[in-house]
Amino acid sequence: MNRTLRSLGNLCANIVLLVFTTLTLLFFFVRLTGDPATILSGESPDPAVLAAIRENLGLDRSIWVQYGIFWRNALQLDLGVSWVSGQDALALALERLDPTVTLGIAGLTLNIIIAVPLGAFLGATQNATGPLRVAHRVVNGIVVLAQGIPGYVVALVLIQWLAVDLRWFPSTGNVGTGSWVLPALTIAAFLAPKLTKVIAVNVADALQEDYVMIARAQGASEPAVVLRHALPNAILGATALVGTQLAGLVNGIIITETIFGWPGVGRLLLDSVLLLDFPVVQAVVLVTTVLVYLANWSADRAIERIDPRLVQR
Amino acid sequence: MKSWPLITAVLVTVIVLIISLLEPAWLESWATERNLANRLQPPLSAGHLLGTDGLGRDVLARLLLGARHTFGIAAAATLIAASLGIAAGVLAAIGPALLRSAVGRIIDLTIAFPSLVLAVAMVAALGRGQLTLALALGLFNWPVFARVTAAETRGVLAQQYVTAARAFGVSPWRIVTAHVLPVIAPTLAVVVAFQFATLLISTAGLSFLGLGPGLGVPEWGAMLAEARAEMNQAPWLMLGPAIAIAWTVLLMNALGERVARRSRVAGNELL
Repeated sequence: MNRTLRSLGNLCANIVLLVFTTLTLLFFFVRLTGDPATILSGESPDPAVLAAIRENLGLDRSIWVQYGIFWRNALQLDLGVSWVSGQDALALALERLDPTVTLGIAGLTLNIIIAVPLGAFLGATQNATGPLRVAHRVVNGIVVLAQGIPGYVVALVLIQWLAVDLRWFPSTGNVGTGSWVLPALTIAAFLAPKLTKVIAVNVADALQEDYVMIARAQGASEPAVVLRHALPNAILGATALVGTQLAGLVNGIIITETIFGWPGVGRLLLDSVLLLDFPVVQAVVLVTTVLVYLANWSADRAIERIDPRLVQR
Repeated sequence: MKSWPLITAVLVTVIVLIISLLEPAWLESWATERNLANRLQPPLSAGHLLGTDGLGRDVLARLLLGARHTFGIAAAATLIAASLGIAAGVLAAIGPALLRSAVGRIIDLTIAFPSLVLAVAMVAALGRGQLTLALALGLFNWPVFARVTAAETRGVLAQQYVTAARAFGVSPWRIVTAHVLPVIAPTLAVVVAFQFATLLISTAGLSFLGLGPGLGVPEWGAMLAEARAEMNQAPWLMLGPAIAIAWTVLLMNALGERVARRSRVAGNELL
């Protein structure tokens, strides 16, 4: 009980720290661009219009006053309105969160579906002989190669092959079930090679352990040894990768959503960046950072539950 | 395992880089020469080993010219991330108690930061450019270096010879430079190689999304974006930049793994 409380307190403190740092960073990023009023007033700035915009946004006051106003608004969950559409920036970001989270879960699931069997196979056949050795080499070659090919290249190939040539799936947008396949595959392409490798190494290591030797001595068949004894431990060891996989997932999602015209936060971020719509950029960055932190934290707690050996200190 | 394939690959890459950096006049004119009558030629066509792009420019020449941009941005980003991360990692291991816990907390907090999200926001704020891209990617990718440095440094500090050095009154600064950094250097080299590969993918990725050095620069990611525009007519056009990126990433991964195996670095920890 005490530990749960302390852990929750820690979580709250970290989130406060995270939000504070992110927002401060973002506030000063926007001021680095120079005068937002010149962006807002468009091509031919009329001095009167410029002055009006500055007064309206408080840009005529000192930077610290502006920073104060920014925080007063932020604490009321007001990150300003989009300079392009006039919508509330935070609401806009939260609205687009749903397709991103579902796509992320789909990609992550596909990643696991691809990586776990491949990793188990590679780990189990490391010292194999005969045809299995050949198969091991081929699969290993593909995984190594896949590690070098960025997800966005995979996406382009998938679009050209499965969407344009074969017309199996739509190439852009979020319409119907078919439109899920290519973006999810792309995200899996960003993540799967690394996970496969880690699981392969862990399975190979686990197969050297005493408990595997005992299972073998008791007459367990080789597939049973791998699936029942080595693989569960290998997957448990791979959970240490959750943090980097999550960060990779978010990085992959931004690129994937933009390529496939997926209506999520990643595409919103890119669109807003290209239009210099800073309130929306701020809202998206804030929402993603907090969300990733929460996801990472929950994953860590879940792993501690599954494997109490990991709880230290 | 024989190492000559790796050595050959490194040599080829270094030669390409040197040519790209020297930017000789012949390469410049070869890469910028437009011939609209000869546009979108497939690979292996007369005079164009990798074909021509939508403006009739030679793809191979542009790849060669672009090598320094992609390499340069990724290398600068790696340098920034490594310097910041190693400094922070050392502080997290040997600094005063308060600083130690503060830096440790920041590393924990930022290790799973969505770095590309922040990099995109920073590029938006500073405007597009090679320096901005390198800065944005470097500034948000230091936690990996910091975590590895901190963990490795703590390991070395527990060794008896470090305790002995301390007992002799050797200063902390000297302990770090003479006893810690040389010992953890192979591990750091592995991280540098793997991170360089990752950052090269990010560099080309952001450039692919239109946040790169700008129009006309033959950066590999930007070339990929140009190829995408012509994908219906010339799907092979993305082959050149894709292979160039994959080649470099695989080479860095192979180098990192080689160093890891030679110095028995536990590669699993570094992923």
